Amino acid sequence: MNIELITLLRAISGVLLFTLLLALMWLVWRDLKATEQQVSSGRRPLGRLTVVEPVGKTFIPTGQIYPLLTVTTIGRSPGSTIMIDDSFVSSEHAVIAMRGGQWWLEDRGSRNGTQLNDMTIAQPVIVTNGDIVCVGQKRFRIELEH
Amino acid sequence: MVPFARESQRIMLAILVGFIVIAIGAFQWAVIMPDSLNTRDDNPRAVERERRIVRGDIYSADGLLLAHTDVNDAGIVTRQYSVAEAWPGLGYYSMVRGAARIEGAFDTILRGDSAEAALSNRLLHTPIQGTNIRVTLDSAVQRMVSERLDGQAGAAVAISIPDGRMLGISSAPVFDPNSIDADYERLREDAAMQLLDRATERRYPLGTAIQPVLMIASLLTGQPLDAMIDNATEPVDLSDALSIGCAVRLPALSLTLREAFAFACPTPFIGATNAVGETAMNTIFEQVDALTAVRISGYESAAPAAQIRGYTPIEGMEAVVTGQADLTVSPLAMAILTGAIVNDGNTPVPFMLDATLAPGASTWVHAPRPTRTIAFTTATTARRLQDLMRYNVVNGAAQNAARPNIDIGGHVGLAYVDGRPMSWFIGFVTASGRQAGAVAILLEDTSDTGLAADIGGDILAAVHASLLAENP
Amino acid sequence: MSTLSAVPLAAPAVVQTRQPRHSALYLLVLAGVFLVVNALQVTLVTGNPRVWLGIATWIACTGIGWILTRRLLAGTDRLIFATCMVMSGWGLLMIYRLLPNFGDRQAVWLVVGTVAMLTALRFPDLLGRMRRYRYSILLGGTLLLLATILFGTNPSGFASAPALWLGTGSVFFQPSELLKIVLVVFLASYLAEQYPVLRSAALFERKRRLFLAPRIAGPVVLMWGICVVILVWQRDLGTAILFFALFVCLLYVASGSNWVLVAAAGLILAAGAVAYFLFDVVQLRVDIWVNPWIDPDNRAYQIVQSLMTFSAGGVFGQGIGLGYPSYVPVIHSDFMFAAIAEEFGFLGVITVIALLMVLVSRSFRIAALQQGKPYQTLLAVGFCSLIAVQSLMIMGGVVKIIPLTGVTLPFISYGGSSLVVSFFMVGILLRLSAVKG
Repeated sequence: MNIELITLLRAISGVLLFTLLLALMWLVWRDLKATEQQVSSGRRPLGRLTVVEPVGKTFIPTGQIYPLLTVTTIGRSPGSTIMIDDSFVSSEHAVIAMRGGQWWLEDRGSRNGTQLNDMTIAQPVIVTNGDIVCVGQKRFRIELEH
Repeated sequence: MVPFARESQRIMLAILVGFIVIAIGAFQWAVIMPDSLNTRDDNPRAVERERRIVRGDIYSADGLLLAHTDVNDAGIVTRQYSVAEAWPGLGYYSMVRGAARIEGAFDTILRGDSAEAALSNRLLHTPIQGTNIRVTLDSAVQRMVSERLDGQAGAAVAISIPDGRMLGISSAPVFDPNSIDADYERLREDAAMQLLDRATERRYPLGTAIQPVLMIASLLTGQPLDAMIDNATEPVDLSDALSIGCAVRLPALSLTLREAFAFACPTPFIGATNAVGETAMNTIFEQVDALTAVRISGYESAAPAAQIRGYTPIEGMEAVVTGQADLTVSPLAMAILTGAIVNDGNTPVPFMLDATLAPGASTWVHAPRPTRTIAFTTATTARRLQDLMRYNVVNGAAQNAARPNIDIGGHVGLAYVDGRPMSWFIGFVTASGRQAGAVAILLEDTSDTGLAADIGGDILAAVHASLLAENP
Repeated sequence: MSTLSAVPLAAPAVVQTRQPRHSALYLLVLAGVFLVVNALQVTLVTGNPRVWLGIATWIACTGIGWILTRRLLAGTDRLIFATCMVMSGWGLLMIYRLLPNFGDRQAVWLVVGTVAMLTALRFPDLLGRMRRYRYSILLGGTLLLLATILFGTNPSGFASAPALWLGTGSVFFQPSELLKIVLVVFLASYLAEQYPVLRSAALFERKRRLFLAPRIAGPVVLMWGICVVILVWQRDLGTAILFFALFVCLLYVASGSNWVLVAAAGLILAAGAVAYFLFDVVQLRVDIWVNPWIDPDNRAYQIVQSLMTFSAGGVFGQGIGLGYPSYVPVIHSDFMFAAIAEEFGFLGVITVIALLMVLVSRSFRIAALQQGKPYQTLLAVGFCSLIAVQSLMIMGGVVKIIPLTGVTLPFISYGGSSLVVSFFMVGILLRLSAVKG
C-alpha cells in the first residue's frame, strides 16, 4: 500500500468534494432566490381580469390580462389600477373591491355607466367568477382565485 | 397565481428545512461531540486500531527473546510470551486489560506511538510497528530467581552494583500472561493476589530485617559491638499472642551486638538505639523513607503510594526497632538498601531498559541510564557493615547463603503481617573490581529464614557468575 | 382606437427556468473526477480492480444518457439528470467498496435504470396512457401487493426477515417499489379530476356530508387500506409511512387546505400511538430511538453503530476503504448514508444533502412550470415528494432525529428495484421539465 499516494488521493478527493459541495450550495441558493423573487413578484393576485371580445354568444379572450387587487380601480386617469385610454371612459370610472369576503363592483358616477353582464348597474353589486364587466368599449371577464 | 403553487412551495420548503435539520443532526455527531462516541469502550474502531498495533519485541540482556507479537493474515495481532521464567518480570499486555510491569512501564516505546506513526495510523490506518526493547534482565539470574521462588509466595530482586541494572525480578505466585484475557477476572478475585507485583508494588514490615539500618546508626554513633548484653535472646512481645525473637531458636544467652545482629535477635537493639538517641534514629528512618521512594527507572506509574510517617519519639522506638511499626518497604527497596551497603554507602538507582531498536533500524541504541545516586551513609560505615554481614553468613543465621569461593554477605529477618510470619533475606556478592550484586528475598507465610537465605545464596551465586561472565 | 397603457401581467406567474448553460455539465465532470480518484483509492486499499468496471459503466450511462436525453427531448432539466447520476455513481462506488461481489450486479441495474429513464422520457403519450388506464394500473399494483403477501420471499434467506421480494433464482424485485409509481400515477390523475370539488367552498361551509361522498372518502380509505396492509402483513413500517406521507402531500396540494396537514398530523400521532402498542416492530423502533444507550449491544446496536460512523468520520472522513462502516448491519442498503459519513465525513454528508436539495428544488420548479395543469403538477410533486420524503426518513433515522424506518436512500443504496424505479420517476420529471409555457 503506497502511503504517499493514498494521502495524495485523499487530499484530492477532499478538495473535489468541497468544490462539488460549493457548486451545489450555489445552485440551491440560486434556485431559492429565484423562488423568492417569484413569490414577491406575484404577490398574491387575487384573481384576473381577462379582456374578452364578444363573438356571437361567447366571449373570446384577447390575451390581455390584468391582475385583480383588493381595490382595483378602472378609469382614464393614470393613477388607475387599470388605465384605459378611451374617450368613453371617465377618469375614475368604476372600482372592483373586496369587502366582507365578497367582490363588489361599483360605478363611480361615470358618464356612460358600467355594465355587468350587459346590464347597467345603478348601485354596487356583488360579482362572481365568470361575470363580464363592460367599461366603455372594453369587456373584462372576472376570474377569481380560490 | 397558478393553482397548487402555494401548496407545492410550502411542501418544498418543509422538505428543505428537513434536510437542514438532518445536516444539523449529522453536525452534532460528527463535529460537536464525536469524542462521546469515539471513546466509548464498545466502539469497535478503538479495538480495530489496537488490534493492528504490532508491539515491539522484548529481549533479555543476553539476547533471549522474551516476548513478541504474532500477526495473522488478517492483520490481527496476538502477544506471545515464550519464556516462562520471565513472566513475573514481563507482566502482561492485554487490549482489554491494559499493560503492567515491563509491558506497562515501557508501553509507549513498545507501541511505537511516534507522532508520524500515530498520524499515519489515524489518517490511513497503517499498522503501527512498535520499537523492540532489550531489558537488563539476565536470563540465568532470572531463571534462578523464578525457579527458586516456584511454589512459594513472595518476591525476589537482584540488582547489579554499582550501575543499578535489574538482573532478576520475580513475584510469586506467577500467572501466565499468554492467557491474561481469559484469566483476568479470576486472577483479580484471587486471594493470592497474583496480579500484584510483590517485588515493587507491595510494602512489608521490616521486622528484624531492619537491623542493618539500626546497625548503621549504631556504627555512626560508635556503639560498642562487642560488649555483652544480658537476656539478648529474649523475644520482644508484639501483642498478647505474638512475640518476635531471633531468626534461629537459641537458648537464653548473653550476646554481643555483633552476635545479636548475626542471629537477628531484636532485644539488644532496643538498648542500642536508646543509646544512639532519638534524633539520630529519626534521621536514619527518614533516610529509609527516602529510599522507599526510589523506583525502577520508568516504573513510576506502578509505584506504591508514598509513605508519610511522623517523627518517632524515644518511647515509640521499640515498635520501630522491631520493624513492626509503620515503617514498611518493598523488596525492591530492601535490595536498593543492600546495594547501598555494598556500594560503599551510595544508593544505586535501578533500571530495567537497556537498549531500543526502532522499526527499520539495524542497531540497538542504548537507553539513557540513571546517573543519580543518593548517599545513604559513609563509606567506612558501609564497609564495616559489609564485614558484619559477611560474619552473618559465616557464623550467623544467614549461613545457608554461603557458597564456596564466593564473597557473600547477608542478613535474615523475621516479620509479622496480621499474625502471619514473613522471612526476609538481604545479601550481596562481590565480583571483580567494584562489581557487585545485591539481592533481597521475601517469603510470605513462613518463619523459615534459612530457606530464604538458601534461595538468596543460589541467586547471589547466579549473579556472581553473570557478573564474572561480563567482566572476567 | 384605444390603447392599453396599463402594464399587463405577463403570462401568469411563469417561473423562469433559465439555467446557466454549462453548470450541469461541470457538475458531472467534477463528480466524474471525484469518482475516478476514489476508485483509484479503492483499488489501492482493497486491491480489487473490479471497481473500474463500475466506473466505466457509470461513465457510459452518464455520457449516453446526457446525449440521448437531449436528442429525445429538447429543453429537459439538465441539473436533475446530473444530480441523479452523481448520486447513483457515488452509490455504485460505495457498493464496490463495501460489497465487491455485488457491485457488478448494481452496475447492471444502473444500465437498466438509465434505460428506464430514457423510456419514461420518450415513450409515446406515456402520461396520457397512465392517466387513462389508472384503474387498471391500480388494480395491477394491488394484485402485485397481494402476490407479495402470498408468495413473497427474502433473498437473504433469513426466516425472520420481512418477505418483501418477488422472484426466483437470482432475480428478485421489490413490488413495493413499483407500487410507488402506481400510487403517484393513480393519485395524481384521480385528484386532478376531483380537485375542484376538494377546493370548493361548499365542502367547508355547508355540506359536511360531502366528506363522506365516495369521491372524497374513496382514496382516503384506499390509502389507509394499503398502508395498513403493508404494515400489518408485510411489517414494512417505512413503506407504510412513506405512502401515507405521499398521500398527504398530494391531497394537500390538490385541496389547498391546511386542515389536511392538521388532520394528517393528528392521524400520524394517533396511528403511531396505536401501532406502538399493537406492533412490536414499531415499539422496538421507538424505544431504541428514545434511548439507544441503555442497550447498545443488542436492540440498539444498529443505531449506535450508525452514530459511531458519523463520529469516526469527523469533518473530512476516514477516506474511502479506510473506515470500518461494515460494523453497521445492512450498511449497503438502509445505512449507506452512514458509510458515506464515515468515509467522506461531514463534508460528504452535506454534499449528499445538497445533491438532494438541488434535485428537490429543481423538481418543484418543474411542478410550477406546469402552469397549474393539475395532473402534471401533481405528478411532479408526487414523484419529487416521494424521493425527498424517502431520503428524509432514512437519513433522519440514521442520525437519530426520527425513529429508524427501513427504507433505502434513493440512487445511493444498494438495490435494483429502488434504483430502476427512482430513475423512472426522474425520467417522468425530465419529461415534464421540457414543457414550455
